[in-house]
Amino acid sequence: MTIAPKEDRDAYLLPENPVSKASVVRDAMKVVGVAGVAAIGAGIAVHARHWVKNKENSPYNHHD
Amino acid sequence: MSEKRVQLFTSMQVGYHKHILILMMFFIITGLPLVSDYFSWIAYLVGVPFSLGAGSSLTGSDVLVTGMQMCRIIHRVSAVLWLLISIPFIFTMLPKIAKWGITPKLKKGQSIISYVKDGLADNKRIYIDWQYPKEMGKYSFLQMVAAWAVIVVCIAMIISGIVLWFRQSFSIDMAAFMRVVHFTGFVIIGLFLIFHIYFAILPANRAGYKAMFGDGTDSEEHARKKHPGLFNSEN
Repeated sequence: MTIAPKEDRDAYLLPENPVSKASVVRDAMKVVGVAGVAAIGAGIAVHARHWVKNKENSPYNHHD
Repeated sequence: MSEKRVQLFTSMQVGYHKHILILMMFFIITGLPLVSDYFSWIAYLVGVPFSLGAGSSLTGSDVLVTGMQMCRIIHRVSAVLWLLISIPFIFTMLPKIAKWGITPKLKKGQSIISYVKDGLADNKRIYIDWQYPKEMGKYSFLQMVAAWAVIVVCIAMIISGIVLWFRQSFSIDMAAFMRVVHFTGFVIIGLFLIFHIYFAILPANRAGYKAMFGDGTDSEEHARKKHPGLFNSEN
């Protein structure tokens, strides 16, 4: 996001066409980031459930 | 009778980690509004206290602009502080890099594939089977991979951040490329942090967590079970 007005584009060294290859990659990375957070969140939920179900048999449950 | 303790982390590591934790929060909070409109509300919140002195003449967008500028300033000040605390850390730690525990130590005649297999088996033993590892040293195999990935990404973040700060000295294409590098690094670090925090609070890592936020030590009895490789390599 930029707060520079369009007429000041040159002063801020902003690209003429903001839809450049770089901005396309950045947008793709945003999707990767959101998908990654969702995937990790789901993975953590599954893993945490696995821990809760098995914690009684684990030595880590007793170590203080 | 007090139990024998072993040093897992030095006071330098404990102190650096605590500082990084606070600075990382500043990086994320002030970085998010710079990368997406969805987080402009953060810039607005940051802008409110800095706009109070201007009275009622300010519009909402004035507050937003003030917030964006403050986010930029805080982001850069945080980066400078990070570099400042990193210099003594790097100079103290770099000569002891072999003792960090993040460099693979292959046994005599062991192939890399067998090393990786053994490392992953230990990771499974700890986090899937919830048992003590057989070979693990200070860090598990996946922790070592993550540590190197974080080091590489942090270096990329520093270089790209400096280029973006002084973008007037570089071409537009270079600045655009570095913006991609900086943002990609942020995504990787952000995803890593979620993993890192989750695994840090798992009971399997409770002793390490206590050591990192305490005096850096663990009981020898527990450390011998959780980090057997650490003692094998010392003997």
